[in-house]
Amino acid sequence: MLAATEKIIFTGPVGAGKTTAIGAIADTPPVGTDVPCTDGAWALKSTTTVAMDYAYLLLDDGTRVHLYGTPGQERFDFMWSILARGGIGLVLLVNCDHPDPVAQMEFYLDAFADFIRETGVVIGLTRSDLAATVPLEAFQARLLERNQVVPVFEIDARNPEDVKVLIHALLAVLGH
Amino acid sequence: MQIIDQVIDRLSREAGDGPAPAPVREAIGQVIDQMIQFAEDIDGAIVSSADGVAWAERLPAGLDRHRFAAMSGALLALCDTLAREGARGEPRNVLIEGEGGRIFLLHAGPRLLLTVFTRAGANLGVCLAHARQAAETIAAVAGS
Repeated sequence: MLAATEKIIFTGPVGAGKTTAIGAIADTPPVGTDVPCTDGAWALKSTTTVAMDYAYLLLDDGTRVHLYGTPGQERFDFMWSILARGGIGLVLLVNCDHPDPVAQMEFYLDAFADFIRETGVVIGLTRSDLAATVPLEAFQARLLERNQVVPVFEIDARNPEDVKVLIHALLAVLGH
Repeated sequence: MQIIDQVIDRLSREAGDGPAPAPVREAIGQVIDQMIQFAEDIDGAIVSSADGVAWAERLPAGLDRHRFAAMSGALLALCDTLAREGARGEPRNVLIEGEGGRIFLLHAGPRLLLTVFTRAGANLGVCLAHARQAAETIAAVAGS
């Protein structure tokens, strides 16, 4: 059973769609901390999250699910552990448009390894509709090599139904 | 051109550069030096971009410029959001009081922020006045 309030963390590299995904499913306008990019990420997007995104989602049974988005850049990794505290699970979004998205997936799985061990994770692959991207099978193969059983979905972070699939999958992984 | 964000992050850290030209960063460094010289209770400062990249600093020994640039950016962004949603307007400054001294964070123009470290027992008003003046100068330098 879910408690009356629960917390889910969205993480992943810059440009994966964390802020977008939270905004797509939130019941209220998200709290955001986006500022203009001045590092290499400016070629991907004009703004970047520097502290956190926050919003909540009300499930049909009245449960309030708090959604926290982390900044993507490694220099903000101190925020990852702060935001993950008390979380019930992780949604890892990976942008398939990057040159090596499988390596990015592994980086975040390693960075959140302790949290994942205690809770659970699902993976959403964004921008997989763009040409010449790494296929879903490549991610599954790497997960198999790591002895990790993780649901992986190709999603559009702008589509609320897609993002909700990830939430429901995570709750299923957690046994709710 | 596609970019691996981790590589960019590491390269930015290794190069020690933000996107600012060296003369601008040097000029900002001089502003920090002057502030520290004239305000005896200020023992360090860093100027960084809103998205957490260090531009110039005179930090107490042992403090990592990259880490403090990132933390200051995150904290000030969150404080801006808090103040805005709390209908208090943009924060003039953020103040952290510790037993070992204080830390101020203030905006230095639209793109930069100034983080100032003061000794324990420092005169709050004097340090803040020096910090605000330095922030205005830095904003003017960076804007040029």
